[in-house]
Amino acid sequence: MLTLPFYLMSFKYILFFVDFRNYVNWLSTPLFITATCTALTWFGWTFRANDSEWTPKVRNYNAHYIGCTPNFDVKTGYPECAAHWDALDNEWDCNLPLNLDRQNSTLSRCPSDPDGVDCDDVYDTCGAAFLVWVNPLAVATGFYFLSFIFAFMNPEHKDASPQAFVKFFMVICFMFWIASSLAAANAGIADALFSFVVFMCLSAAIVALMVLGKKQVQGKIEEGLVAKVRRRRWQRTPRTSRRHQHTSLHTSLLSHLHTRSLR
Amino acid sequence: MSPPPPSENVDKTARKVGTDIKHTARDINKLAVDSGLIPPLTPIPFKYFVTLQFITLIPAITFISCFANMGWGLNGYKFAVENADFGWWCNSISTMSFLTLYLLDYSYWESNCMIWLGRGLISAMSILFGLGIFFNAAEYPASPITV
Repeated sequence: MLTLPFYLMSFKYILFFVDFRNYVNWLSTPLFITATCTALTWFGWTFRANDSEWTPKVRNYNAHYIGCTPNFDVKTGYPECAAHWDALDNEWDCNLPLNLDRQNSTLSRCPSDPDGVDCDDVYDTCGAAFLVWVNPLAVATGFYFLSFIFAFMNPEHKDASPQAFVKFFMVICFMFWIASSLAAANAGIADALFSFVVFMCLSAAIVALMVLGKKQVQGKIEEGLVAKVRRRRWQRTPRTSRRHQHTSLHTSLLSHLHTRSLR
Repeated sequence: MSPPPPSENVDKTARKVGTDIKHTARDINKLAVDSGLIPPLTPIPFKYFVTLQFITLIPAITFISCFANMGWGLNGYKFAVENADFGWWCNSISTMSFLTLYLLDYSYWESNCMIWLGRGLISAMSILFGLGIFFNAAEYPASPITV
């Protein structure tokens, strides 16, 4: 996510000797198409075969292959399965094969005693296993986000306000957060989602800095803050003194900006 | 006068439905643009579009090949997890170098040679830091995608 803006912008200086505004706006359509293709391919892949769906079997296989530590916690985990796991070699002495045949990669009935303790969910804390599976969707989400950001960054369309898009994006993130918290509470997926969103925002900030420049971004933030403060003061004060306050705020703002520019 | 043949009627209806769909799509697009959900776009020349499409596909395909189940993601993650020590070294060296540059007043260097040296060092350290984050996959599983 962080290197993508640099990668995309570098081609402006290597291949495209066009206006920066046009280049930025042009990027949004290919990014959108790539995101759609990625998402569709991933959805197609998940429905293609049973091995591609997110099942405990696939989770165990992924987690074991990556080298995740099984959950042997006394309270939340499966301590009875610990005896069957060799931490040094990352090997199970029961039914978890090391070959690539996923049909057999289950830990069910792992201990060999007649009753059999269920170790199927022993890798339920391995977030990496899920992320490896879901990464294409994450890529698609990141590309969608960047495509919209690139489109809104075009300084030619100053009237275009991304407020609706930001609200929409926040609602989607919130829904994802709820879903991940409910579905995989133990695996730290919500944390991964949070860091992903933070890095998407950072990436958007990098794009904004590259396109608009430091001064303009600073100015826009200041403009927004000043407008907010002004609106709040306006709402709080009685009608009679509003006119006077408007003038005084304007004067103070001007003097603040003047001192800033002198610095 | 005989009524028009059924095929002509079907053609007319199809054309009308097509026009209606086009108008509806245009209205929806206008509404989405006006509400701020979709930004207005400038038209893109076809040759640029193809090149940019190719450019944007490269990182997506590379990442999915290296870090997703759809590709060889398990091997990629395993490699990162197995070389976690290397990531630790990368992060340490880059952080120490940033600190050293800061203590050496990098931002006040004046000669052209020194400025370019500083930029080169900063770039190298950024790449090193990125590598460090990538190799932290064992501790932070989301780190490859964030980089």
